[in-house]
Amino acid sequence: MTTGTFSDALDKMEERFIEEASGYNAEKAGKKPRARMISLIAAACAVLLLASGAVAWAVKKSEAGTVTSQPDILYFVALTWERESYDAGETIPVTLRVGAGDIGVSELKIWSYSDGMRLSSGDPMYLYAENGDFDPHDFTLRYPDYKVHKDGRITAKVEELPFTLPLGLCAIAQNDCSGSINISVKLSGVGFSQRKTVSLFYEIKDGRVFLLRTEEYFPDLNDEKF
Amino acid sequence: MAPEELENSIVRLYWERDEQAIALTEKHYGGFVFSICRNILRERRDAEECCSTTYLKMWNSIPPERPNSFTAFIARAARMTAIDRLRERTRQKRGPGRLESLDDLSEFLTDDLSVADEVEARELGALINSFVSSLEKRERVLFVKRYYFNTPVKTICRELGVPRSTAYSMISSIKERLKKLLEKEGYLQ
Repeated sequence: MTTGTFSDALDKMEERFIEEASGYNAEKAGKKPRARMISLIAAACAVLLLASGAVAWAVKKSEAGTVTSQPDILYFVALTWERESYDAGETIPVTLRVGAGDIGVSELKIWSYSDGMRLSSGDPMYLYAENGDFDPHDFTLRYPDYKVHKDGRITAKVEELPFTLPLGLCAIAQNDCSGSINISVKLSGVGFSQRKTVSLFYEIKDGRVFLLRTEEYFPDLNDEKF
Repeated sequence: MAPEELENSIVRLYWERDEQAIALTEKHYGGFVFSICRNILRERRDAEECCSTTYLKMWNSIPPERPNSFTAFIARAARMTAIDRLRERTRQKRGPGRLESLDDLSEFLTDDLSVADEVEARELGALINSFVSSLEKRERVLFVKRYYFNTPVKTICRELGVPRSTAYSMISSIKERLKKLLEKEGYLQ
């Protein structure tokens, strides 16, 4: 059976069910909406967090920047590309896929580090959620809502995660070389910040850039570049 | 004004060919229609266009129609308009033509949103209606919200006041029962 058949069959849904579902919400059913409950809990937690700020700072400091006991919000970062080789002078289109949860993410930052290559524009790139609440089941990255700032940053509005983001890479090395470009993604929200890095290994030879493979990269958190 | 009164007065305005009917529809049902289209299309501009098409469909179909439930009537029109747009987008290769919620059922549905045979759709529709009717109220609401309206799970959790884990376990249980029924009735091999 196809999704088309199932969808057309759903069109025959009886009106009473449609009406019932349209009018149903937890408040009407006498239940306290979970979102509101979570807001109250979050507000209480925020007060507690503020009160224990010094302790939290000390704990964080002792862990050398590692933020522990947080749920995994940023699940993965992956990179794909179309061809094996490109001219060294051309912009190489790659696609970055970011898989993430939806716990109040309000900002996403993408930046790269490499001796031989870099993101062709907008490095670092910032993406902001309007309401700080992504839903991984809906995703829309609004193009072309980019804003280019005077300092070179590019910001865009993201409504939901996960999403795919087309990026451009370009070679900056003058001579033949090989190495990797590390593309990092950092998600931030109230009280948390998580990041992941994907490394793309390349080789520049005779005016051609060869893309070899990617792997997840675990940066040294004490390294200021990350 | 009570919802029934509002519905009746809007339908009456359509029957009187008073353009105020569209303005009132937009005012009172605009958000509802937009959310249906938006949930299916996942793209604001297309959803906005579908809203306008839906209002035009209301104008062209009432009269002769005199819906018992204007809410259900406009919801159905909005859904069909959005799905038509989704199919058009697929034909023009302007994006994936898939209903996100039906990914839940990918275990037994193949990904092809083409228009189905009307007779088959009607028969299957009757079976789905009897299945929905057999569900407990909260499951029924979840089923309609998820598969009819293509509502994201997160939104359903908020509207039903349940944690996400509960919603997924309800979806899983509904899926199993639906699969068994479809197998029993010969829709699945």
